Amino acid sequence: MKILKHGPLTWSNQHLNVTQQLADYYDLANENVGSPLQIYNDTTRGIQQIIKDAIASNTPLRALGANWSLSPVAATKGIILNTKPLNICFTITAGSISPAYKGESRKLCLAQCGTGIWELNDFLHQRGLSLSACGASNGQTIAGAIATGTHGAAIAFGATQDAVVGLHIITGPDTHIWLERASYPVLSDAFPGKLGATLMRDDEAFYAALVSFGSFGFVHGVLLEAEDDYLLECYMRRVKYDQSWTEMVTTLDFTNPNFPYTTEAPFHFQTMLNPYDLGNGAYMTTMYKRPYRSDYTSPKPNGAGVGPGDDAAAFIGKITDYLPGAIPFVVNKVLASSLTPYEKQFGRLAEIFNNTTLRGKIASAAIAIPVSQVATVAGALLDVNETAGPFPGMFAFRFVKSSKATMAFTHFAPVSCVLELDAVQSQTTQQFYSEVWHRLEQLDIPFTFHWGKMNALNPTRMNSMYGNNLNRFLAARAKIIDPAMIKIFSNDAMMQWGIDS
Amino acid sequence: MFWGLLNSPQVIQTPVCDSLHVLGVSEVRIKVGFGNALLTVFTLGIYCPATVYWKCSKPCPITDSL
Repeated sequence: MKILKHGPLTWSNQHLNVTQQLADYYDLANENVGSPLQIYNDTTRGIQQIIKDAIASNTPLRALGANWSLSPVAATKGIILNTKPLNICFTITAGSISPAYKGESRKLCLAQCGTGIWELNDFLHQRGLSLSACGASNGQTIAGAIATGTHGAAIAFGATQDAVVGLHIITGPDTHIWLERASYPVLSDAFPGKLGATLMRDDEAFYAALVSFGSFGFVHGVLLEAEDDYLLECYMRRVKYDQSWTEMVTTLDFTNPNFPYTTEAPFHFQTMLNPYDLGNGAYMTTMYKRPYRSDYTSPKPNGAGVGPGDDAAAFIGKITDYLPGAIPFVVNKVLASSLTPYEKQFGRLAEIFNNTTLRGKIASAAIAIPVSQVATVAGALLDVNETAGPFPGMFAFRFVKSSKATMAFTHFAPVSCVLELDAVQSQTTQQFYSEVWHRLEQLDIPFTFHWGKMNALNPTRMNSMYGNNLNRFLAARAKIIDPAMIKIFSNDAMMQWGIDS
Repeated sequence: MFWGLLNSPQVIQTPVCDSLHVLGVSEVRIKVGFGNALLTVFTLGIYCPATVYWKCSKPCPITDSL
């Protein structure tokens, strides 16, 4: 493996809201000599050597994906390992499949940790396949996306991690495992031997490792179950913000006449509120799954460069930190140009949720709440906006099937609603966030923070948000990696969240 | 010089990308800070300093079957 060491430096995330002085920053890259499997295994050994050195020198490590997270999840005082160049992808042959696996081997893909979602999209499309879900953009690496629970609004499927059926985890300087569920074996007993890994089939460990924010050792490979390529038929409409909106979002009754189809549940469902223009209604985006065909017109961004799958992060930075009195006007102007309703646009998942260009310094926080609480939370947001606003952004509600991952923040069953609060980075925004979390706690509304976005997590909140799941996570991790590894892969965020040991 | 009317194109060396066997860069940003902008104005564009940032592109994907 190639390791390029940059020495001590000041590192910042993509959104420039997290900055940390590092002991070192390593670019990791695969060798280019040998078979892909030999190269992959060589990289496993290289990472193990880095871990060995780190334990010996008591230097913390952190694997970095696309550097996209707004939480300090990737920060460390020690060494950041840039995994983006690690992008080998393997298809799986029928001979490598467990006899108990009921799926098709052609739909399986083993992606090295640094493989970008956009790279996976290309790899799968070339084989007539698609991911089942992804976030609003495609820049994350696969290991980073699952580590933070990256989600879209796939109401019947779930988040990115819910397509994962196997993990190759480097658990120590001399150990690495191939981890699957005992209840859903996928690869043959002999397969881990190709990687030199030890086979472990354990549901509890698998679900704990799935969303583990970089604290479960080094996730080197991710086995994904894809599906046949498909198109999404997309709509964005404005609907009245009234009782019918409340019923629609709290009951997920898709027979509501506001929906393009009243006899079919959408694949993707989200709604957005502009607190300064409620009279003109809420925005509602729905997407329906259709069989793939090649004779469609690919989706085009609107005049403001915003496409059907873009979230508010794609345009919210245009709202600059104006004087409070100007915020409603500016938000309305930006949204009027950025969010233009459309009907019946078609595109593949990879085309709808594609590149996002950041504009300006944005802040972004997201929480999951039970669907039954959406209207109450919307009311609370509008109320807080009066007292702690004006919030320089909008309120987005995205609906995603709950995940079985132990620490998935989208764990409210059967469907979680993810409230996204994207705005300009400012004191007002921070104050608004704090007030919202406080108000929801006052109202006794359960919620969980997105791991990769701005949050205010502490051990008390961790306990109230995850309860026994937190204990299960810690117990499963202790079974897989030893205390020295846990310490090496901890950072200030893990300490602040109370999961550093 | 003179706001670009006269310039001598520079070849950006990317030793980091090269050592990782990555072909080229995926993003280039030119940043002119406030101080440099002032220098440019005061020298009537004779001296236009800027800082160039770039990101290595990703390696060509390696694929295989297992």
